[in-house]
Amino acid sequence: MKKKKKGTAQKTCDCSELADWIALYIENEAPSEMRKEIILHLQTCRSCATFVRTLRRTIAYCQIETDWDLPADAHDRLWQRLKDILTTED
Amino acid sequence: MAESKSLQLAVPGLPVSDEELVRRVQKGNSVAFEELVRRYERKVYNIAYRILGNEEEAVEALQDTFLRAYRFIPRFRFKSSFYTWLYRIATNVSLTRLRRRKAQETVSLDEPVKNTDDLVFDLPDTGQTPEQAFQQKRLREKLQEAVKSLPEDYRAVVILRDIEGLSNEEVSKILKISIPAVKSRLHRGRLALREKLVKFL
Ligand SMILES: [Zn+2]
Repeated sequence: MKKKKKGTAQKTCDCSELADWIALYIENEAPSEMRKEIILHLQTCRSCATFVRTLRRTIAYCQIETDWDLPADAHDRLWQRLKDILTTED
Repeated sequence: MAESKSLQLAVPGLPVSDEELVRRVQKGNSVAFEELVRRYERKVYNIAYRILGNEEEAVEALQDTFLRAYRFIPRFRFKSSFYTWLYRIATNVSLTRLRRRKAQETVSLDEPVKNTDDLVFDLPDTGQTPEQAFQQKRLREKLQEAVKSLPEDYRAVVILRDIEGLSNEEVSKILKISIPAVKSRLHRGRLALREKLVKFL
């Protein structure tokens, strides 16, 4: 018996649709129907799953980034320039 | 009664709010400005450094930002938070420098662009060894390189939103672009960043 491709209970998006929706999905702003379809697609499509995983990791790396320290003389040089304007205008 | 030159705490033990400090600066208390500098110099430096990708230029941008902030603080109207306003100045100062530098670079193309793509990098999976500390440091450098190579429009959004952790609304105010524009630039920036980092992920 031939299986019907469409009309099954669970609908999935295709790869190009996923590309359109991924921004919303990543930000948790995708409507729930869309979200379900994306999740289903990610379970069945290896390349999209890899894409989403690496995109999430990219974002995570940005988010765990901590501030760089000020270079050694940066603070003093800043004060040096500020001192001039702060004292002259007092 | 003249306001004391020293920093007075509104409530003993609690730090004075940025807004209160701004009010004091507007009344001529420069000590209050020094406190604002102390609070934000590192953040401002980081925004500048990430946009410019160069320490010395970032240090200069840091100075320019606070000099400008001091000049324009009398006009601050408390419509946004102080730091949003300050980050806007920092971002503008940095982007202006970046554009100026790029304009100069197009004239002299002798210097080859540093290519770091051949630096193979593996993520540590477990434990905390000196080797891993080294790896982590290198990942930071990788990220810094990748951010630095993003197109300008995306770069500022990714820095402010993902790295500095500001909201869409704040980024929209800082860059004076709409929230949908923030979201779309953020997404494109993230995609571009992923492209550059994918082999390390
Ligand atoms: Zn797919």
